[in-house]
Amino acid sequence: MLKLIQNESIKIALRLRTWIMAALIVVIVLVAAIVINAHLKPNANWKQTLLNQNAQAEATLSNPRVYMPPIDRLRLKAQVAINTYDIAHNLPPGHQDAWVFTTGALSVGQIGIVFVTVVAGDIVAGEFASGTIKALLTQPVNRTRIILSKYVSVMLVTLMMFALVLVSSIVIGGIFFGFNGIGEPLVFVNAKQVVTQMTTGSFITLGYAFALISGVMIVTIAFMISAVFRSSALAIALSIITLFVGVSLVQLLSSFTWDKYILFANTDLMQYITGGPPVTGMTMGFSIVVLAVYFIVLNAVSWRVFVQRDVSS
Amino acid sequence: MSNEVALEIKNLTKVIGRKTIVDDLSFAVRKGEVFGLLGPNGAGKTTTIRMIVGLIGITKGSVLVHGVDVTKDFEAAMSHVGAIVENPEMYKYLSGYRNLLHFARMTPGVNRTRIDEVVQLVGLKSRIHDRVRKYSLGMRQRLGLALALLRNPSILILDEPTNGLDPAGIREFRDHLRSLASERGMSVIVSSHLLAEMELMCDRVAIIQDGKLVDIRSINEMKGDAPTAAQTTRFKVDNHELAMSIFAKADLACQPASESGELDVVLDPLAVADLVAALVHAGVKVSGVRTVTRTLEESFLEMTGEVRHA
Ligand SMILES: Nc1ncnc2c1ncn2[C@@H]1O[C@H](COP(=O)(O)OP(=O)(O)OP(=O)(O)O)[C@@H](O)[C@H]1O
Ligand SMILES: [Mg+2]
Repeated sequence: MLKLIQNESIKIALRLRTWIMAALIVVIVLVAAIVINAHLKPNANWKQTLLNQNAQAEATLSNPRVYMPPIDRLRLKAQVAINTYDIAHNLPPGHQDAWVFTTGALSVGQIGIVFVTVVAGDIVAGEFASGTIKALLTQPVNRTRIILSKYVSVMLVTLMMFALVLVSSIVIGGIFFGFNGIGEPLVFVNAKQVVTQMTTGSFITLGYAFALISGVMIVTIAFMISAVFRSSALAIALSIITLFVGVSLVQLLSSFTWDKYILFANTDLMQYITGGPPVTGMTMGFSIVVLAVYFIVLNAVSWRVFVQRDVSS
Repeated sequence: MSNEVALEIKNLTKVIGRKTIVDDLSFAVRKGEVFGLLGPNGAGKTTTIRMIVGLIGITKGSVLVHGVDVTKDFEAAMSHVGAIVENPEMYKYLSGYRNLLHFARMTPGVNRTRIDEVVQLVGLKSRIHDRVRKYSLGMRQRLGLALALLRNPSILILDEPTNGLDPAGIREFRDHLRSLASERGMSVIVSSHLLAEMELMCDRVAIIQDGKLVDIRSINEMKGDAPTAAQTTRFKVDNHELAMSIFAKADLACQPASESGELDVVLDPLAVADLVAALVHAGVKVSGVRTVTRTLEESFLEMTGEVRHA
């Protein structure tokens, strides 16, 4: 089994596109650091600015004649709380260090997932497209082991992609903004629109762990599409389309309660830490169960299709 | 060649949709034998081979590799089999060597020494580190053969293997196969519609048409070394119409041999004397009678019914 995984990994590693995508990730992180750095203008009067902002906000909140939807009221209160915290702890807004930068780089992970989707969409369909599937399946190795080795390899790529985002953003962030602050609290608005704090280290750990879970789910879909179609271009395109349509569909249908059963309403567990779920009443436990069910079904489909299919022409 | 059976096909049937592509095919290939699957395009040769190597499901029947059912223990069965199905496709972005290394990892006990051995054998040594993208069709065939031989199989299955080889390459390939069979006791199954090639390569051939087994013959038998019941006899006569009416009366099929103006009749050799007497009696001048040794091609075409005697 290890040798099969080695084979699949080598096939991924020896393709130029893999390295182009890896390089792109580092470049994006680098560009983000450069842009953020350019906009970090030290403002001597930042405390006064924040105090003014807060005073204005308090005035609005306490004025009974101003109508404001409850959610906005909560957000404004949260902003006031964050400002107060920053003033008290002497943290200029837009404060950056390697760790804050690393939490921001999570969105680069989302781009990375699109790249991994390309690899996953190609890994089975590509063998059919090139005809190498015939040689691959006429070795003394049964199909279950072949598909498993491919799945494991794609998961390794997913893991490595996040590792690359994490490491490159810590290093690049460190070079640009310095390393202090990992134990410092990160202040954010939680799922119930209440201001919460967490150490930056915990936030990063949680963020990357949840991003990995969401990545695994998306890559699993791409893998299933790859196992079903024999054209790799089609499999790659369908996987990426599914990813984008899925995410916007969840937002579009959020007024329906069954929306919560759509996979993409549950992939991002971070929504329970900050921001809130798309459908009210959803809980993290619910999402974990939904994800587990999808995970099993998607993989069962991939396996069954691959093991049963006739390989002709 | 021993009588030990290496590969046995029993009642093999493949139905796709409503179409029966392979129909109740049975044959056995002995150890050390070169066995041909001969049939016109679309006969079902490739489909049969795909079933043997487990690429497609078997609708009915079974494939036994040294007694092991391919569908029951695929890994055990395939460890004895090396195969090329249609064109040998390889990873184009990898070198020939890396391709072999890749597949070597899938069979326990195949090491780099073995890889060097097969590369040497198929004569690809000078180009083995080039990417497959740069290979010619013939070079890819050689690499395919190297791959099929990699785990030193006791059964080698090759679908249209000489496709893309030059005449020297074909000759060399044929010699390889013959020596693998006779010296190492390897059983080789080759499919082809090139009759002359089969004639030179195989010990026995199974003739397949429309998915059905027409016959299994040893090559010698097909070439007519062993007398068969009916043979073509060529008559040189002066009066064609009269002669043909006499043949017709005797219920014999007859057709003019194209180039010479002679008449070919298929009949039992024992009946020749009576027929000549009948011709002479009717006043036809018979200036020549000889039996025609059928080529493999003629036998084949006759059996697969592509040319029918008038
Ligand atoms: N997947 C499929 N679906 C439907 N029909 C098929 C399929 N595969 C093969 N056939 C049909 O089965 C028949 C046999 O095909 P096969 O490829 O086995 O022939 P062959 O003897 O190898 O021919 P050739 O000499 O051209 O290689 C053909 O008529 C073909 O059209
Ligand atoms: Mg064929």
